[in-house]
Amino acid sequence: MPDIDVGRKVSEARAHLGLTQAELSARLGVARSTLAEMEMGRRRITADELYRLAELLRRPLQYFFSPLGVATLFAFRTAKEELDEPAREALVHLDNRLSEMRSLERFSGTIIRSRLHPYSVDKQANPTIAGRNVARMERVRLALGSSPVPNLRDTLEQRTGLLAFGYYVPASGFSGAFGCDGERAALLINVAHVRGRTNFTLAHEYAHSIIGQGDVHVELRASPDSAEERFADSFAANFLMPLDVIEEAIEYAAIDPIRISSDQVLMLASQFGASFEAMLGRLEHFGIVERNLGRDLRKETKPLARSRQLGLSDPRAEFPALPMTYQQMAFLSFRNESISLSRLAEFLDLEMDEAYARYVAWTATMAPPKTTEVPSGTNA
Amino acid sequence: MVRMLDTMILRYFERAGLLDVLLGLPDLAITTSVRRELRRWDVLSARVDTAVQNQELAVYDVDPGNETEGTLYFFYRERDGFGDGEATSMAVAHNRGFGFVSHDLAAAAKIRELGVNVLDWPDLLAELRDAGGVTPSQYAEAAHRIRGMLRGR
Repeated sequence: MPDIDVGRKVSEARAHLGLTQAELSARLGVARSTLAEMEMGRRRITADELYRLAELLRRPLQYFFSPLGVATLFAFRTAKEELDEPAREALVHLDNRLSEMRSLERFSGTIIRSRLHPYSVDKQANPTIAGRNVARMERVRLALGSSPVPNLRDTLEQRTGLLAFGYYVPASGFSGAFGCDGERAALLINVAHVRGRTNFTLAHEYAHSIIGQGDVHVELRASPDSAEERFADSFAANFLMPLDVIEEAIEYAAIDPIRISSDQVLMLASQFGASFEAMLGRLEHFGIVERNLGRDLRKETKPLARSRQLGLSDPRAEFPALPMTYQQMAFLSFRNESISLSRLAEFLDLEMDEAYARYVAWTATMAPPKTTEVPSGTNA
Repeated sequence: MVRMLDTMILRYFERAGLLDVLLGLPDLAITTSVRRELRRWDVLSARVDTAVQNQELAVYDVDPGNETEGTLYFFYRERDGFGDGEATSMAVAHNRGFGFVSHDLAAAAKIRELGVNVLDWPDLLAELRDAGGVTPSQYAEAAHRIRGMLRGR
């Protein structure tokens, strides 16, 4: 039987959001001493209070009835005062998603284990060079060859088992986070950013995940100059847009770098899943495009409008909140009759009717089960 | 005996035009989780809120101070894979000896084998008919509409 201690779960959830007892008690509308007694188990929490606490602490109701010790423990590298509230809420969301992944493993009978390869980087090393070297090694390890990676999310999911969730955090410096509960890991990406940036953010967070597993990393633009951030930025740029792959793409498309047009930069950007600005910056960085030409191209180009005219992928295209593997595990769980329709809808963040329609669409994409005829006379 | 209503039961009766009549039956209750799940339908949600205020519908929730109820709820969620509305209603019904009204066959089967009295929408519709709350033609029409909804899914 689970060891239920609702008060301690309240205390744990409050700590994850970085709230003091005074702050939470004010929001709950009780005295600070009352909340302290609730957390210590000296005062019973009513059902009404618990629903309110679940809302304030951004946790599902079941969180408070989970056995102690199951919840993921976060270790923040960034100082507490640098985390704004939306960033903390996003981290709690990531923790909730990790918890759902655990549940889905059980319901679907599928195990999610990320195959991350940890690299150790010398603290004295130049972070920019280290980032480039690790990016090269990781491209080789993932057998990416000389291909661009326009959809890093799918690539990571398929080749490393690392799932990336989208989460909307407007008006915040928060770009993404990495979470790991010891067995499974996940990334959370702020989808308020355009795709060129979400792809870059994914690569950036991936860099943190292969350097420091076991933590949740919070990237805030307030501290872009740390060695770790420079390492991750260098990794992301070299992983997504390495020199040899860019050169090959230019050669394949028969582009003359001296006369490169903004349309050609846009085409390359689309091919590499990058923004116009990031692609052009990279071309200038490698000296492929002269800085004067780059300046002119920036002046004359409206990237979003022109991308649409050219029929290139829209950099602002939606980044679905749920990774494909997660959705498939939810569908499998429903197909196995391990979860009810309403639970499927909860996992998918959909209404029941829509969840069922998606499930039906998913079953249509599945190959029919193979039937094997047992030859007569054999013992099946 | 108090009957805990699952979310979709209220939705079926609303679509059949019999929600007001249903809420006239005695001893009906929901959980706050069910009430929240109903928020996706504005008109239904508003009517249920009014019913709660007028005490036509009681609200019973999993008691955080009751370890048995909390454990049952957690098991229904994490062992049996039920939604929050279902799991809270089942835990309350199971622990307090209430009835449970649901059309979810898995939920019904699970809790019936634990000795809980389980009802479905036809049982409530029949109760309304027997109590004179609906005419035989209203009964037939409502049953037809609800079956149509279920076929649509």
